[in-house]
Amino acid sequence: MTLDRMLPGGFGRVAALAGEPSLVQRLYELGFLEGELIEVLAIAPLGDPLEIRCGGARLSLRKSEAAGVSLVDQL
Amino acid sequence: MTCTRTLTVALVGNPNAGKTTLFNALAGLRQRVGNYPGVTVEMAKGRCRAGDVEMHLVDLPGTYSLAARSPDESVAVNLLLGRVAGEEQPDVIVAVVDASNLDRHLYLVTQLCELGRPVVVALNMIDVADKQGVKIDISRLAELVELPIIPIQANRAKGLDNLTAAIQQAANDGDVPPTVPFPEMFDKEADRLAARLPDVPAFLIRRLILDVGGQAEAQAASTHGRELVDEVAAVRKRLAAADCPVPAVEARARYSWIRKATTVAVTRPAQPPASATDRIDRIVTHRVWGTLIFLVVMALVFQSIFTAAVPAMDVINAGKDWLADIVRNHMPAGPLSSLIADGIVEGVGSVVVFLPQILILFGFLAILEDCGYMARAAFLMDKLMSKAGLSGRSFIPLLSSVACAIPGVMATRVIEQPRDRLATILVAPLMSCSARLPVYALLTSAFLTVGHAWWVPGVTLFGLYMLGFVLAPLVAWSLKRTLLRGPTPSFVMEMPQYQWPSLRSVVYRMYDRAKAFLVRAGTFILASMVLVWALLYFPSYDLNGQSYDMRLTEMRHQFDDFHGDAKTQIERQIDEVNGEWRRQSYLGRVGRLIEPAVKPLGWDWKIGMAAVASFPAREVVVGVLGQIYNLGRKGDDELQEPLGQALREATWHDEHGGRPVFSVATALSLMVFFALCCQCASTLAVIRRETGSWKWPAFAFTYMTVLAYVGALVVYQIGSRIS
Repeated sequence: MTLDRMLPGGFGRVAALAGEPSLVQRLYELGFLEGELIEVLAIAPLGDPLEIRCGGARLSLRKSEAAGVSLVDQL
Repeated sequence: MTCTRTLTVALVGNPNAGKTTLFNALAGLRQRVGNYPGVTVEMAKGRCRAGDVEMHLVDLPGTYSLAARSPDESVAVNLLLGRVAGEEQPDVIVAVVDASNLDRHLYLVTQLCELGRPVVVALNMIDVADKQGVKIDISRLAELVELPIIPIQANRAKGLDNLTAAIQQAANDGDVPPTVPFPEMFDKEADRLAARLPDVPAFLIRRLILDVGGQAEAQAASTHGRELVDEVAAVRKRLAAADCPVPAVEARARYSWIRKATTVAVTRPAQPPASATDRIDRIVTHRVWGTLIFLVVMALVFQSIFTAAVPAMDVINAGKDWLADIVRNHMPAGPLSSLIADGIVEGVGSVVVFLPQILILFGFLAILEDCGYMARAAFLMDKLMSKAGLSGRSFIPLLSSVACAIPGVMATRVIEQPRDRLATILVAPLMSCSARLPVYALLTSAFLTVGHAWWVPGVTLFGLYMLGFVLAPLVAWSLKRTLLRGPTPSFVMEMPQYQWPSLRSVVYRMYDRAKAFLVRAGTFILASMVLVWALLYFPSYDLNGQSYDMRLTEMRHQFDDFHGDAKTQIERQIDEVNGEWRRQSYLGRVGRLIEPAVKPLGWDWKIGMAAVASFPAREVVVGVLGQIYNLGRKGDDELQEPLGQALREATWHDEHGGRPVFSVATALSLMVFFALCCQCASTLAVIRRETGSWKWPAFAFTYMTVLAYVGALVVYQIGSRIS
């Protein structure tokens, strides 16, 4: 399951990051480490981007960027 | 008291850490903005005193990491490393950290510790962390990370004395902080590379390995060639094989080190309480409510720049005219009086008149930014703007430009990506601003009201506004595919916690923007106003060697002595002399020179000249047309009706013999020209200021003029054939 396909209220743990190197690096910097809990809080009214919670922070992420984040079900 | 010593202190932190608030609290009004060649970053510099120490503060742009991906980002890194010519390396680095988001903010701190300079952590927003039930044992944390940590509340100016004391202490001790251990394999590879590149600082060697496609790599490639890039790629391959893949290795090393400290020193509630931000965001980013709130907020901001500024702008305009009249009445006629009245007073007035809009817009923007709504607005609009190759952050600057491009361009600072910011700046003047309204109003009322259906003027006005709304995204889209092409920057944005904006910070930002506009842009606008004045004033003698100014003054004196018909006659003579003067002025000659070029647009030389003369500001065209059509100096409102009539009656003087100059097609062509051109010295000056180079205002002016010319040409050629 990749993050862009999650619905609001859904969550999972980061399994792997893929995509453009600078994006992957930015996501790592923001704390998208393997095993980190990610929660989808909302989807923008126009259908993109997503508002998610990672660690203590809320982030906005486009679906195209979220597509590189694979998640595993919680626990 | 004399200073015994000065310290250079750099403030660094994530966006939303409260860094700029801290900077303003420390430096107050003792600050200025520094530009760096070739980049769009601005770093605010300020001073503050603590005892007998004078601190030189540098406020660096907010960043999540020192992994520089653009020339703009590498300026900050190079400044911290003391590699920017003319800038001193900071004696102490102050890392501003959000206590409610500690782990992530400490990530940047661990990078700062590798720069070889003492680091002091300013722990901001402890009140917010406290509300979330996060308890931080500060002394324990300081012990574990081996850094001085000072709790502050930047928005309440609390803890600043402790902070400045800690900065001095750190400078005195000069202790270089400990660094996060990386896997042994990584250190070995870094050492090997360092031996090959002895002139590159250790910090940049590590960045060279870690940042795929980053600035360190680009720099190394340009100085050491392709070979080195291949070598770095080989290093990364070896690291990946040894289970330290780039870039994961960095995040893993830093976060595991950070977490070791924070698990001990920080206690978090098992189940974080639903914060105010959670509750607010459930509504604000909601499909229906969120959209509704967004529309209301935007309407409020937009409406207020449009309407609330009007009374103040009227007062400024009236004051300008009053002052100009005093000068004309109390100084002997001649170049000096005219320069002061028509050049300087009008010039300064045309700058100051934008001030109310700037203050109102930036008051609103500062509140929206500080309370955290700006990020939500960008979130809501991102999809729409991404179609034009921009991000949600471009929405507000573009919307503001509908009132006036000047605050719009200045508002692009919220856009972090330099390329996106530049694209937004370049298309912002395409949005139909309020200065176009006098032109639209004059021409629609003169040519599209009488004898046309009632809806024609309204639809025309709507069409002219739509022209900007449609073309701005299209131009942005093509810019992002041509001139400003590059890897699509990711748009990962933090949505900050909601909080009350601090009055101090809001007022400060309004002041700062107003000052920036008046001082930097104002001088250029004034200069261009004076230039146009001179081109319209000189040569100031008629064929008989008499000064026009003298002739007019004499006539005006007579005017007061006459009554009835004689008075009207004198008035007409005054207008005629005035018109003759303008026509034979240098600008008038330019108008005649360019007539062949503007004829395909349906314009005669008078319109061409008026268009050229309106370079300082579009609305000037109304006044200049008034002067050329012998209507003398009157306010725009008084001018509108007689000028409309004069325009309707104007005829060609050449082979067209007596055919009216203006048709509906000509009026439309002129309006389309003014809808698309960049005849606004203030906008150009602000673009220069915001981009730090004359290249971009020149580009904006050129492409918009071409667009305007082509647009007007198409409209006239099609329009004149239909009618």
